Amino acid sequence: MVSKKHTIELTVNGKPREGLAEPRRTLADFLRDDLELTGTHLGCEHGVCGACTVLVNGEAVRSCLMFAVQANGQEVTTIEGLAAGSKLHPVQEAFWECHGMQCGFCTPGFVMSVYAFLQENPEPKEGEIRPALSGNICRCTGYQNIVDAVLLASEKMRGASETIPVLSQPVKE
Amino acid sequence: MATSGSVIGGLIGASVKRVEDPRFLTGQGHYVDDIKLPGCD
Repeated sequence: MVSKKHTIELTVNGKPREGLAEPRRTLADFLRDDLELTGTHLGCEHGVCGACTVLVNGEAVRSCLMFAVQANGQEVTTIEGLAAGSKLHPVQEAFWECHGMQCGFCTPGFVMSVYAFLQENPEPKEGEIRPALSGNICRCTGYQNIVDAVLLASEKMRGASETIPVLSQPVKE
Repeated sequence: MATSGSVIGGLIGASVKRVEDPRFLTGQGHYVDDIKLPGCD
């Protein structure tokens, strides 16, 4: 069954974007297939694995559980929008330095979840980090290194807050 | 890379940053689901 497509206008990684989508189209599919931002990954497609996590108005959401039409007029940040040009965000740097990934498939979701978590809790203890990561699944079993990465990212962000890229600025292509 | 002498301070046992990680961390990784095949949209 084909239903009417709706125009969706939203801001993605600081840039205005537009597309057409049926009401049932998920934000994840809209980002990946219509806007060609394939950095957002789909693992389970039912809100369990966290791979599709993006920010909507600064809050971490599962883009597989949200419809694209619900994102109309909103501000979305994906993994492609976190670094400022070639300068990685401290969360990304910390994942790199701590070897917080193996295959990298779950990584975009982890990075976006951790980014949002550190906005709420800039100085987390390990015992707070583990529950915060519980909505993201890594099948390469890299959790210890991911916990280490969150601790390092928190240190980096507190130590160099003036150098952290501002998300709302347009990202260089 | 040194071919003789002490390995202390060399690569053996050292933690080496992976070259593939920046692309995984910036959404530039390329996975099977990212491949667009003609006629399969």
